[in-house]
Amino acid sequence: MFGIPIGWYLTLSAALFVLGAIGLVLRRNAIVMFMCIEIMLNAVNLTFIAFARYHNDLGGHLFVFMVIAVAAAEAGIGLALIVNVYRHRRSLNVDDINLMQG
Amino acid sequence: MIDHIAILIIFIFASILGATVVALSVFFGPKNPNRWKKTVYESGSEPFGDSRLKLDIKFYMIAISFIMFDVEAVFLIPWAVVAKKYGLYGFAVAFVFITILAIGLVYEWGRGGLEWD
Amino acid sequence: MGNPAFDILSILPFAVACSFGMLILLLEVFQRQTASRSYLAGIAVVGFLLTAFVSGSFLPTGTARATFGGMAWIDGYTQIFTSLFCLAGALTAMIAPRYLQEHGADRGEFYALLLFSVAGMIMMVAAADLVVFFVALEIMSIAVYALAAYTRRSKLSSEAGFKYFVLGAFASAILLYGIALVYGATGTTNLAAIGQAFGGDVARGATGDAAAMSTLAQNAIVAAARGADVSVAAVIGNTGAGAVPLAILGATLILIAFSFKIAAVPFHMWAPDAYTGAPTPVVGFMAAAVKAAGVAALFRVVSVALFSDSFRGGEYGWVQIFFALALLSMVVGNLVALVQGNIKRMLAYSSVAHAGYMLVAFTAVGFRGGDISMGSGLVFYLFAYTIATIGAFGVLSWLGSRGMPCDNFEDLDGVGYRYPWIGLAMSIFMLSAAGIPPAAGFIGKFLVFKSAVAASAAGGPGSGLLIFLVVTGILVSVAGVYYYLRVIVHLYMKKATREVPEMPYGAARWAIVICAVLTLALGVLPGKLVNSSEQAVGQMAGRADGVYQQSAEAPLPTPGGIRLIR
Repeated sequence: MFGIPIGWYLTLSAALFVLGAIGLVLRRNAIVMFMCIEIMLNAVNLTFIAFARYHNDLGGHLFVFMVIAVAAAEAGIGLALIVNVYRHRRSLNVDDINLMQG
Repeated sequence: MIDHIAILIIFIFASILGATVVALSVFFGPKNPNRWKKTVYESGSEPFGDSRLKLDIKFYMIAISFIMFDVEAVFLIPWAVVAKKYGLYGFAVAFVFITILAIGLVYEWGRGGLEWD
Repeated sequence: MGNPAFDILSILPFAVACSFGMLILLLEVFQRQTASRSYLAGIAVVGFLLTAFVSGSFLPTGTARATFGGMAWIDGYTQIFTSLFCLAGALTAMIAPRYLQEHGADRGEFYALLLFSVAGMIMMVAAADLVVFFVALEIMSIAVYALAAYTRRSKLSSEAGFKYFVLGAFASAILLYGIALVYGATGTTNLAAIGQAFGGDVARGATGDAAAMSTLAQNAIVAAARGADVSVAAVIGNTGAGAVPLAILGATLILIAFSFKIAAVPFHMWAPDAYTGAPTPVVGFMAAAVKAAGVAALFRVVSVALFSDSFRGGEYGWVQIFFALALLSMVVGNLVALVQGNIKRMLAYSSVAHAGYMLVAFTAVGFRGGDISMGSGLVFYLFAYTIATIGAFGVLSWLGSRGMPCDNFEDLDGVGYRYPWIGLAMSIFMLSAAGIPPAAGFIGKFLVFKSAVAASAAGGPGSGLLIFLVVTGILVSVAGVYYYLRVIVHLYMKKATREVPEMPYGAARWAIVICAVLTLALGVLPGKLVNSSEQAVGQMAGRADGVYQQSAEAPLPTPGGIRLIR
């Protein structure tokens, strides 16, 4: 892999994944939370690609295709749901989304 | 590391080029400042309100449908690369795939998802 | 390469469900906005029945085959769950129309989404490869996100959909990361290959050196971060102990993601909100079919890919995880359900508790004295649970679609006298959920706890803990009887606080009747289903313990033509 050890790729992707997870927990804006999920998915993609190169196996690349497609579908439904919530609430702050006592 | 030297060279070259162009225009460009030219918007009135405009919901609609149909290319390109090898069977599978997409498009069209107004 | 003809035949159930979904979408678009959509529910029911029929008739019972070059398994396990999901989908489609009309959401997309999600469930249970599994899970989940937010004009529904989506997508990301780590450790995403990669020397070597393993597990990522490649260097030959911690970390993440999907404590926080807000027929579908699909797929993943000793026992084995999840889910679910005033929230927590009972079966299976065949109790439990849950939510939505929204227990007052049959059906469902004979839930609970006791009887370290789990489970389910009986008390022993209008019954009644009859029938005559579930689990293709193995070269699917190869 051009001399860069796989560890660096794994570190980068683990860091991205954790950043996404932390962002999802801390940020209150629905769109930003959604972007955090996308970051996590892309971190996973990086992990897959790194391992696929490491094992010299196409399965990982294939998985990344699937993840990209699924992420697009999730983006579609997620944005639609966020728009729907916004129509009711006029706000994207998840702290305002509290009709149920949860 | 030696494999990446080309990238480094491009990086340095791009930085130098960008800086040079900006510097040239700063140093040699004609400058005739006056009171109005020094305002934020030279040709208009002072800005007011939030610069983040609320985008119409239609843009979301377009964006959502775009990403749906855009990403499907991810499956078609690998098939296209090996289309000859997989012959009729592969073609049939790709055809089914595109048919399903087309049904999605017909549905969206019929639902009014493609109308701007 | 597989055989194209067989491949296409083998995904026929999936294809039928998807085709009916697309057909309904097209029918929906090309008709007047004002026309009633109830007939689409009928088409959906036909679609579900046809799917189940195709699935059942296509392969003779007791046969199994891998299709698409080992991407999916068509076997008894797939078939029995296909029929369960189709039943759940058909019942939901019968219950929904009036409710949707009442809530201004009479659109055909509902039934299309139902069909798509059932198609996803079928594929999820059939999956023999984590790629297929992941895509199927998302087909199911994405459809259900949309269903949860289906009544768009309701604030509650849109919030429920949003919350369900965020948590669900989060769980998907965790699942993916887990899959990626397992892939890194083994170099494959095929379930059976993963099982083989860790079934041999690696497992024994790793469990033998528990202390070194735990250090490695904690340091797997850190070590990788240093660029030292310890975590993966040994993987290529599948020999070092280093590969196991990476895989165990991945497996743990996969299990956590599943716990989100099936709403096990402490990953249940989305469930009460999502269940309270979503349209009632959808809640029944979510609580029953989606959970059943998650549990069924998890059981396949666990018993095919993660069954080696290092995954089950060991320092970080999943038996401990399942033990903790089962205990917490049963206790928290039942105790919190006790104090709920809202009936949908009560049922939500009760479904959390049921996830706990299901996980008891996993704990038993993963226990040293357990084996995969003990999962047959789980299959029966899923049938009993699914039917009773859909029925209970069906009663609620039946009432809710007649201008009698049912939020609190008080809203049920006097319904039992006004509508004796509905009251009787609801009582049966509650008895089943509480695990009181003669309803099916009793047999399910009995089988699950029996498997745990049997596993602990085989001895081994920690068998006392398993008994402790069973005793706790029985105690909290006795506590749970209180809130289930509370529903019956409100149905029959309280004076009606509001005018109960005279109303027509509609198709939903038949769904409720079917659920009630099935619940009773399975409770009184469980033998047939118990046999089929034992058969389904016994013949689950690719089992890690090698009891049952499908042949790659089995003959083509002419009727009766596929042999069982042992």
